[in-house]
This record gives sequence, C-alpha cells and structure tokens, in this order.
Amino acid sequence: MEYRARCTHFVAGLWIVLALAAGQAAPAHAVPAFAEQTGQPCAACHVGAFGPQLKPYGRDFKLRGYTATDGSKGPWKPPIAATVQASFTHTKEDQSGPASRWFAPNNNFAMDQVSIYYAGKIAPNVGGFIQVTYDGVGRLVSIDNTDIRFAHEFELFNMDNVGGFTVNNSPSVSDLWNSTPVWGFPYNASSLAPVPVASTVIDGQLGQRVAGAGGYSLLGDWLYTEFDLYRGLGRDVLNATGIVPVTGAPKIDGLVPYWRVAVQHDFDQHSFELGGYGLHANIIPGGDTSAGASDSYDDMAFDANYQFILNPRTVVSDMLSAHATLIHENQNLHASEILTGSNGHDTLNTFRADVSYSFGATVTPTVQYFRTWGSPDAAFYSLPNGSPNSSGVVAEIAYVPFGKRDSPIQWGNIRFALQYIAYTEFNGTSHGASANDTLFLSVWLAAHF
Amino acid sequence: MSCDLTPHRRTFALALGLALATGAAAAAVTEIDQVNQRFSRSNVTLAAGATLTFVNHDDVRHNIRIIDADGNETDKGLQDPGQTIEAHFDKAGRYTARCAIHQKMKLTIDVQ
Repeated sequence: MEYRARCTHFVAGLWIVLALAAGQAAPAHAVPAFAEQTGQPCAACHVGAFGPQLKPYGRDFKLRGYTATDGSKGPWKPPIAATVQASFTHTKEDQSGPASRWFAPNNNFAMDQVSIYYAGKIAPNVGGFIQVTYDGVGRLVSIDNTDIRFAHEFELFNMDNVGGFTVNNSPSVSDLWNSTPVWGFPYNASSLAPVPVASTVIDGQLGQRVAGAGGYSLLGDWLYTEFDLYRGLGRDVLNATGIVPVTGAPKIDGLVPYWRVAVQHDFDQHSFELGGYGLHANIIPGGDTSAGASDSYDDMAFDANYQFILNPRTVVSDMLSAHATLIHENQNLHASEILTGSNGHDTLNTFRADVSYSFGATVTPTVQYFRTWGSPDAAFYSLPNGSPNSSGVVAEIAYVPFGKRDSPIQWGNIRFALQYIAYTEFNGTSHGASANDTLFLSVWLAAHF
Repeated sequence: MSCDLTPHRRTFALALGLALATGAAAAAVTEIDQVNQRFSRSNVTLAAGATLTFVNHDDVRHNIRIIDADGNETDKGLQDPGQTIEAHFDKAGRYTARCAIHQKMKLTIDVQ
C-alpha cells in the first residue's frame, strides 16, 4: 500500500514537472519532438494519435531521416521529448514468488518507464531517434532504441527514389512497419507478468546488445530494401549503457547480418506491404566459451501490412490497420549440445497477427492472435516437457484524448489503455495456461520541451 | 483603306476579343490542389509570366518551396488548411515545388 501511494505520488509529480517544463516552452502543434518539428499533430503520423504505430506519412518521415520541418524561423531548439509509462498489473493467479524484485506476487502498480528522447533533425539530411530510459521495474537507466540516419533522394530509371544509411542498436528498429519485432503490437506490455520462455533471436533478443550500421532504399515508392551489419557490444560497453545482467548473459560471436525486403505502396485510401526479413547470428550461450563453439541461428520471416483510411483528407479519420508476421528459426546448437545436453538442432516458429480500428484517432481497439511453436528440447528451454509452445490472444482498447489539431493541450499527449492477455498454451502446456492471463492497465504520457 | 464594321461584325469582334483576353488570363493562372498530402498533378507546363495557385484542401499545414534548376529555393511560408498560395514564374526553365513538411509531395513545373 505504501509503495502504491509512493508510485502514485511519483507519477503525479512527474506529470506536473513535465507540464510545467513544457508549459514554459513555446506552444507547438503537437507532441513530442517530431510533432514540434513538423508542426503536425500526433495523429498525422500515428494510428490512434499516439506512437509507435505509423501511418503512411509517419513511415515517409522516418524513411527520410526524421528531417521534415515546418520551416519555422524561430531559434533552433534541440528536439527533446519525454515519456512516462505507469501501470497496474493483475494476473489471474498469483505468481509463485515476487513478480520482480521490489514487487508483490500479484496486483502491482509500477512506474514502468521514464524516457528522454532526442528525436528529430540533426543536420540537413541527417536525423535521429535516440531514447534513454529509466526502467522503473528493474530500476536501471539504459540506452534504449536508437536509430540515427542519413537520407537523400536520387533518380534512377526515371523514378524518384530515397536511399540512406542507418546506425542503430537493434535489428528492425529502423523498419518502417509495425509488423516487425521492435515496433510491433502490443506497444507496451507489463514487465511484471509471466511471459513465455521461448522467442526467436530476431524477436527482440538482440535489442540494445548490438550496434550496427547499414543502408536502405525505397525504389519508385514500391520496393524497400535494407541490409545492416551488427556486432555484439562488449561487456564494458553493456555495463556503461546500462544493459544488465552482463554476467551469464549470452555473448554474440562475430557479425550479425540483417536483411529486409518489402514491396509496398500507398494508394488513396489503402496502403499495403508484403515482405520478408531475417538475420544470422552466432551466440555463445551464457557467455561460456568452454565448449569452443557457439550456437548458430538463422531467422527468416515474412510479414504483411494493410491500412485503410476512411477519409485521407483528414488526419483524424477512422482507420483500419492490420499486421502479420511469421518467423521461422533454424537453431544449430553446437555449444548448447556440449554445455547442457540440448538437441543439436531445433526449430522455433512464431506467428502474430493483429488488427485495430481507430475511431477518430481517439479510441482504438486492437486484437492480436499469437502462437509460438517448435522442437521440444527440455535441456535448452529448461521447461518440464521441453516444449516451447505458447499461444493466446491479446485484446486492448486505447483512449487518446489529445494529439489532434484542435486539442486543448498542444505540448503533450496521453494514452490510457486496458489490455488483457489470454493464454491457451503457455510454455508447452495448455493445462493451467490461463493462470498467466494478465490484465494490464496503463497510462502513457508524452511531452516535448 | 478604312475598316468599317457592321454592328453585327463589331459585336462579334468585341466578343472574340473578350474571349481571347479572358482565355489568356485563364491560361495564365493554373490551380494545383493539395489533397491527401499530395499535389493534384505531378507535372505542369506554363508560359513565362504565369501564376500557379496552390489550394490546401487538407486539414494540416503545408510549406511550399519552389526550387529552380540551380537549386535556389523560395520558401512560400506556412500554408494553413483552406489557404491558397500563389507562385509566379517569370523566367523559363524547370522548377520543382516541394512541401517541406510532407517531403513526398513533388510537382515538376516547366516554364516555356
């Protein structure tokens, strides 16, 4: 109870600080820094008037290096923004121990994240999205999603094209679509609820543990390609950037190539994308080099996106948005087989599909089906029956009162969300899977300075 | 030699003159609509001295820039929803109109 009160006071206080700070800034058209730079409301770029789900204009803004501006002639201001996420998590049954250090087995209030962003133009043709996050559950500060890019237009085959370079710290953080792992639904989730053990490497395992660079292009507004090369960060760097635990964590061995191909186009009311992405990674499990080998992962994924804008003339139009991805991973477990007695070769697959309908960029219900399945391997997954299978449904409704052109608050935005995750299978068993069903109430504040 | 016109011929000549004058004036102003964060056309050909008007039918601001063949840029300023902005073209050449906010918007203008 005392913690809840402290948490509530902290969030309220932080919102007041953000409000006061932002109130001293010049009035702008929206939040956070991207909206300030372009003079566009949040709803111009984002489905439901709140990130990270992108509309066609948001994808184009990212493609072109976050450099679009409204040409305002005022003094230059660094594009700084902040977000705060707070939540309440309830699982159907109590967890066997504390949900995390400092938390109870169930019914936890949390100040999940406080993030500061540099988000916008850095120089002509150069822009960035740099996020530093305080994790209120792990109580750590770390460098979060980062994508710095150079973009320019060029003509080829009598077509207008866009190409560029990116430096980033997570495969798919540079991607334009919300079907790929980093920016996929759910856009926020509880850190205090049980989650399935198994996930593919490309599905978030490398985030912030690697750094890489690459090039991308969109040819003729139809064909998107990207190729990046990553390298695992050393322990000293991980410590310095706040990524822990370092001891006992897997170590990335050598370079990690990441590729992306997509056919896409925006029509009047319709946008579609059909593509694939993948990577190859060699990982030393637990950082233990005694086996003299590493595990080798080959991930290949397909994805699809469809968006329908009821009235493209207005940024607050109703909008339907759907995403799907299927990831297949081949695991050659040379090191794990020696170290833990796992299988020599496994496969793991993940399928996710979600659809949302945003009413007036204000109320946005979303439903997602997810399923992970693969080879049983008790030694590798440390699960009783060895099966990595999990499946279920996520249902969410989000309410965003601001972020439109005529919103009374132009320096901030807020998103309230009610999310429920229902498992039909959890870590290889359907028996008792629903005990992990999670109710997640969240509030997400955003402001620019 | 004198040029005597009958009343009917005089009326016809006057009407023809008015029609030509009106037609010339109409040809000198060409309207481009901004709808769905796109220009209504991708290219346009004008006579030197002509005017383009840009009409913002979107509910967001635009910021038209006119760029000549040498890369010199003229900022037409912020354009609110419903607002019309004019651009005059006195010299022949190829120009490009872009929106600084919606960088995908592109109109090629050939002035002859």
